[in-house]
Amino acid sequence: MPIADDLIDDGSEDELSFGPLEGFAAILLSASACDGHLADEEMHCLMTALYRMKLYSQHSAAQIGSMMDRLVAELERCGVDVLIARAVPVVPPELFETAFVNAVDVVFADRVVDEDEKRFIDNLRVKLRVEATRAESIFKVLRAKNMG
Amino acid sequence: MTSFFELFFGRRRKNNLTAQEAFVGILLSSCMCDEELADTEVQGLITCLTRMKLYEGYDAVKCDQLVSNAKVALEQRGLDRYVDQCISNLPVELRETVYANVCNMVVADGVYCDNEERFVDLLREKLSIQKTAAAEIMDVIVVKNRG
Repeated sequence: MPIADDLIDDGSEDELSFGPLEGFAAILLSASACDGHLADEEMHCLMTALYRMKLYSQHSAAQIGSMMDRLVAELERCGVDVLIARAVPVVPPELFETAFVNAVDVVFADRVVDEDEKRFIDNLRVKLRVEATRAESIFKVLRAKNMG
Repeated sequence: MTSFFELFFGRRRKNNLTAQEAFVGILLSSCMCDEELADTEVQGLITCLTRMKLYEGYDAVKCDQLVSNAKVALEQRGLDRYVDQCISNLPVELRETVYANVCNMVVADGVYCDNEERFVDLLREKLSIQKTAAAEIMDVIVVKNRG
């Protein structure tokens, strides 16, 4: 089945289908929610990242919005850890580092990185197989980008 | 209410540019270095601004006005002189921030043309950012915009 079909909401109440599109978005959503709330700046950053990606370029804002609504419902139902456990295996490995960089960008978007977010990012780094030294470089750059 | 950032960085500095005007001027220059300003680039620029503490209290209308004013100033002074003026009015602590955001804007559409590459390199020099630091920034930003 083409991955694009994952985004089409047929209105069923069945469990959310989980392809690369949902997986990538779920990682960014989890980054935003890992401190217990969805900050406006973080959600804005998340949606901007998705709209800009070729991965989502064939889909309308309404389709992406619908997917996000379903992911938020799934997040509320099962929590961040379960969502990440479902998301990582469906993201193409060549997008692991991109997912990690964008997750860090979402976390830095409100310029506050609390202990929950630090733990989340460290766990995500391991799951997405990003080397610790590489992660340090990513933190440094995105901290600078989001300063001010 | 006026934010701390607006109070601290919003004062007019030499050559009549505030930090907000200087920052947006550099971003706009990166959009216009290929002599075309696409609506999507303006939208990307405004998205970048609205996320920043520096522009706290700036709504879409105020951001649009800021961009329009910067466009007029850029056309009047020319790219090189205008960028110099912006940099001289930009707080030093925002130099890497503006460079990272310029990199993010130029690679966002997946096309990094020669004019943009030349502009980014010239900007790096004008901002006194080391080549290794600049390469690290661009490398992470390219990965961010992959996919």
